[in-house]
This record gives sequence, C-alpha cells and structure tokens, in this order.
Amino acid sequence: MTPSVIVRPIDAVPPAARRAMIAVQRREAWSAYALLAPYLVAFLAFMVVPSSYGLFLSFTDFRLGIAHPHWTGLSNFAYVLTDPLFRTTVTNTIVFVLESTPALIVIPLALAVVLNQRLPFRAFFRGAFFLPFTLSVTVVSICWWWLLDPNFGPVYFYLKELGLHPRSWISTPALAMAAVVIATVWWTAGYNMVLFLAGLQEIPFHLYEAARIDGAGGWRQFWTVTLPLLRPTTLFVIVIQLIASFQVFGQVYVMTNGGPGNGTRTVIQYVYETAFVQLQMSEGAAAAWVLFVMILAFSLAQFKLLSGHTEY
Amino acid sequence: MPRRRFLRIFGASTAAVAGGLWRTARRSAAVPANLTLAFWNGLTGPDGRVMEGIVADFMSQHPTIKIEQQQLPWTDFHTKMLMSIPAGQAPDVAIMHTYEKPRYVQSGALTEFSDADLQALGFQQKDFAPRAWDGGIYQGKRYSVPLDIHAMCLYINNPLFKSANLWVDNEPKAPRNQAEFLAACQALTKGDHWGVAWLQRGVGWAFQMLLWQNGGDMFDAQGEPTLDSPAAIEAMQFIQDLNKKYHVTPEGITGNPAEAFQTGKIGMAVHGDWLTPAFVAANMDFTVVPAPTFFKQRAVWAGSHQFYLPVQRRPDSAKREAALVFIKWISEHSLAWAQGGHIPARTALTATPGFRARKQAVLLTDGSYWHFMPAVPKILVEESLITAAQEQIFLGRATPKEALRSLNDQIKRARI
Repeated sequence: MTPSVIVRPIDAVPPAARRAMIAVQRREAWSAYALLAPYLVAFLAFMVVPSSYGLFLSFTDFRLGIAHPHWTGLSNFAYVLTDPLFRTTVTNTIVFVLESTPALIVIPLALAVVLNQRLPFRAFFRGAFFLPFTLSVTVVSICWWWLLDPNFGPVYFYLKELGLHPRSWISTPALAMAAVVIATVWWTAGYNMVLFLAGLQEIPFHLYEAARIDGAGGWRQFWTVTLPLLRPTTLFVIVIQLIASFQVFGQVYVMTNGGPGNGTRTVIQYVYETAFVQLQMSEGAAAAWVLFVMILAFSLAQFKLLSGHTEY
Repeated sequence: MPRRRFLRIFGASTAAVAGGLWRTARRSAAVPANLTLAFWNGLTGPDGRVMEGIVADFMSQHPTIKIEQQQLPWTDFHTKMLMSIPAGQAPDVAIMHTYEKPRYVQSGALTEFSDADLQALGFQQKDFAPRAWDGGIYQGKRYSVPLDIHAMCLYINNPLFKSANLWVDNEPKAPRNQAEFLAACQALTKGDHWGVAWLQRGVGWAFQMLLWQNGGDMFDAQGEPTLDSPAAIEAMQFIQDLNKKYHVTPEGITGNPAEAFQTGKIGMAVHGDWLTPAFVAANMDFTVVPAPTFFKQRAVWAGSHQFYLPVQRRPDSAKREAALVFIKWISEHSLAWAQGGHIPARTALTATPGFRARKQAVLLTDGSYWHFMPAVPKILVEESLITAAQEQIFLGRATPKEALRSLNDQIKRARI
C-alpha cells in the first residue's frame, strides 16, 4: 500500500499567487487573533492559570499560609473518593442534572417555537422570558424562597386555600430539590430560549413552504423540519446545559444550604466547603477536578450520541 | 440589547471600575491625619444595628477616624476574611469569637496584642470576666481582646405560661431540670401550640450544651472528635424524644425557632441571649431565665465576641494606633452594646443599674458555668456538618447513634 499524500489546494496554484494567498491568510489569521485576544487574555488569566494551579495543588498538601507545599501524589483524590459525603453530593448533583436538564431543553424550545411565530407583542414576550436570566442568583433564590415559604409564602397559602395540605418543602429532601429545580428553570430558561430562537432563524424558510405544499401540518412540520434541522443548536444547548447543571451551587446554597440532612448538597458546595470553610484546600481542588472529569465524560458522551451532519 | 449599546455600557462600567480602583489606590497613600479603618464583623442580627449606632457615635466624637463597617453572615465572613488576609486586603479591625483562632493562626493571619498594645488600650485582667479575658489567648499568645459574653438562656412566653397554669406569684414557673422542662412542654402543647422548637438551623449550640451537661465533650485533648460517646448519643436522643416520644415540638424541620417563638407558636425557646432585642422590638411579653440543667451537671453554652487585628500586607502604625483607640472606646461604651442582648465583658459595667435593668442581667449568675466552644482546628468541620447530622435525625433517616457516628467519622478523617 502506498502512503497517501494529502494535497492541499494551495499546493496546486502557481507560486506567486500562492504567496499572495498565504499573505492574505496570515493577515486574516492575525486579525482573528487580535479580535480573540481580549477574551483569550481573560480566559488564560481567570480560567487556565487558576485551574492549572488548582490541578497542581490537588497533588500537594497545600494549606493557607504554607509557602512550600509537598507533593502527596493521589492522596487527596483518595480522600475525596472515599468520602461518603462526596458520594452523596455526586448523587444529589446527578439527580439535579436529570431533573433540570430535560426541563431546560423542552421549555425553552417550546417558548422559542411559539415566539418565532408572528405574534402581537412578540418582542415584549421574548424580553420578558429572558429577563430573569439577568438577575443575580441570590435575588432569584431569595424570591423563590419567599414565594415557597411554607408559613408565609403565597404558593403554600393558595394550595391550602384549595384544600391541599402539602408537606413543607424545607423538611422534605425530594421537595427541596424540586424547589431548587423550579427556581433554576425560571431563572435560566430564557437564555436557552434565545439560543433556540437563533437556531430557528437559521432554518431556510423554503423548507417549510415545501413541507406545506406536501401537506404537512404544524406538528408534522415541527417533527420533520424544525427538530432535525435544529440538531446542532440542540446539541449545543444540551451540552452547555449539562455543564451548567453539574455546577449548580448558588441556588442550593441560598435556598436550602444543602439541607435538609444533606438532601440537596451538591458537588460544588462540597468543593466550596471543603476548601474554603473547612480549609482543606488541596482536597477541595482534587474534588473540583473529579467534577471536571465527570463533566468532560458526560459532554463527550453527548457529542458521541447526538452529533452527526445536518442535511439540508 | 443592541451590541453597540451593550459595548457602550460595558465600556462605561469598565472605566468606572478602573476609575474606582485608581481612586482607592490614591486614597490609601493620602495624608495620615484623616484615616479610614475597615471594620468587619458577622453581626447580622439585631445586634448588628446596635453596633452601627455605636460606630456612628464613635465617628462623631473622632472626626479624623472614619470607620467603614462590613457585616456579613459568619460562615461567609470567615471565608472572606481568610481569603482577604493573604491577598493583602485584610480589614484593620475585626470582631470574631474565641474558638476560631486555630484556623487563623495556622494560616498566619493574626497579629498579637503586645503588652504595649494592652497598655495603650488600658486593658487589665482584673477589669474583665475571667473566661472572656482568657478566651483571647491561644497557645500562650494573646490574639484578641474581649468585648462581651453571650450565653444561652431559656425564653418564656408569659401569656402562654399563664394559660398553661405555669404562673405562680406573678412570675412564670421556670423549669430548672429535665423533668420540669418536659412537664412545662406538655402543659404548653395544645393543638397548634407547642412546648418548644429545637434549634435546628445553626451550628447545634443547644446540642453542645446538653453534651456538656451530660459530662461529655466534643473533642479530646488531641483535638479529635468524641461526638459518638454515650453521653453525646444520650443528649441527641433527648432532642429526638422531644419530638418522637413526647410530641412537644412541631413535626419536621421548623426552620427558625426564633420566629416560632415570636409568633407565639411555641411557649419556650432554648437560644442565645442575642435574640432579646428582636423580642423587645416586637413588644412581646416574655421572660429570660437561665437555661435549665437537662442532665447531671450545670453547664451553659456561652461565647465571647472579641476584637482582632489581622495581619496587614503593609503594616501602618498610624492605623494600628487608631484601631486601638477604636477598640478602647467601644469597650468603654459597651454598656450600649448590651442593647444587643449581650453581657459586657467589663465587670464594672455589669454592676451598673443600666445593665441590671436589662433582661439578660439574670444570666450573670451562670458566670462560673459558662462553657465556650473549644479552640481546636477541627471545630470548623464540626460546625459545617452538625446541622445536616441533626436534620438526618429529624427526618428519620438515621438514629442519633448512626448520625453521630458518621459525623464523628467525617470530622476524624478531615486533615486539618
């Protein structure tokens, strides 16, 4: 078998033209780098450098006030992986991911499809659904905490008026998690909706016309045109949603503080408390990297399952 | 938002932040006569407002010293402190308790009070409650000076005690031991009203008190946890029995016992004296009495707010001097601080009629039984996990023995 030679198009053009093309390509590359630079600097300074340093710390016995930490191998990872509390937080996090991700795909998709129609006040509704996302997590969590307060909140008040006597969500782990999921969906659905709206607007209109001529109704068009052609957007939304859901922290910290009885304690809270409350810095760093590997594995699995070319 | 407008707003806010940074950088290099002290504490309850008033009075009498106070909940406070000090952003003065010293000393975050400092303050051992004075010392070094003592007590709702026939000679029949406490609880529990609600959100102070009263302790001499001892299990069992056996507490996790007491849902609350101002402000008819002795020996959970001087990246002697002036002034005016429900650490002040008129004055008789949380490194692990352990028990997910055993294992395996 002869080794195959990759022939790039540029090899086939005459030398003078080739030089000109290379010059243009270089210029374009440089301007691309220049445009990316501000983000790249921030990304390096606030993401790559600290997380690499965290990776280094996770192999040491680092503590605050210790200038020269010692290499301790995998001991921090062993500490985290054998911690029953860590396993509880992994389970809770997966429960949160499984409860929140489907809702945060289906609801924003439905909103996007509806708000992609010619409706009165369309811009207003788009804005209204996106608005919660601009609030801080503390504001959102405190609002929902008050809304859902079993003693004073309107939700429990009206449920009682209806003759129902629901259990207090504060003292029921499954309901506490549900409350966190509801607050999260309300808070972030608008962002995914915007992504879906952008995806919907990329679908060529003539495909819908063709489908209509073939006699397809609204549902049929949705299933055979919209959904397949939205696949790249859907994949993107699922992956970023999964990553976001795995990192749930603020809502839980404010609404339940991990309770009742560790019922809503998530991995990020474990990382935070291990490192910054109990001051076991290197163990916290190790836990963070375990979470990173988990998220990476889930994201790769998603790509494998859902990717593929979209045919127009 | 249109991109251009976004960019304009983004640009403007970046410029504003940069401008702010530039201004603070310039201000810190400004003239030393007028200086600003950063003062951080975790006083977010009603006592926080009392402190605001005291700080305002201080500033009106010391026009050259400006105090910038930051108050945030204790858990977040410690995280912020511990991260700010190595970053060179430490406050000039802070208020904390006594038992947090190990975590700060380990990370080299505290300065010592020298004899000269104590002289500048005019602080002498004989002027302070002994426990509060000694609480400032860790491993032979003085890292803090006392402001107050705060103790656990029993709050009694007077109207509910009257209607439960727990009223004799124009005062409530205050329970002094476990049997009397249970009898009072049972008399108070009627329909939607309950005897007591146990402190469930918080760090389990009430449980700690029961543990000490039962002859146990949280840690041994090596600083390792002993929370699975028979004494601890018995204490926790009592808390569970209040609900499951005697049915004198509301079902489930009630969130905030202070709220339940204030709204008249429960007749008694075992809680800290710092709730007093909230109940006074709500015009409640209530009585404060010393906490009962639930087990074999008398012990009362107590703590002390103390002043600390964190390590500065650029030590500034003028600021340190001003900080000492500030501490001295507040200490001397800590009778005003008693409005926050606390007991001044200065013994001369607790003898004044002004203090004697306060509800918490009756707690002074407990002085020799005050028991502080131990200053061992692992107490921060205990603090961050005890609430969850108690909730497991209340949810029926674990027996007191199981929950305490896993809590103990969890603290034992921590590597601090």
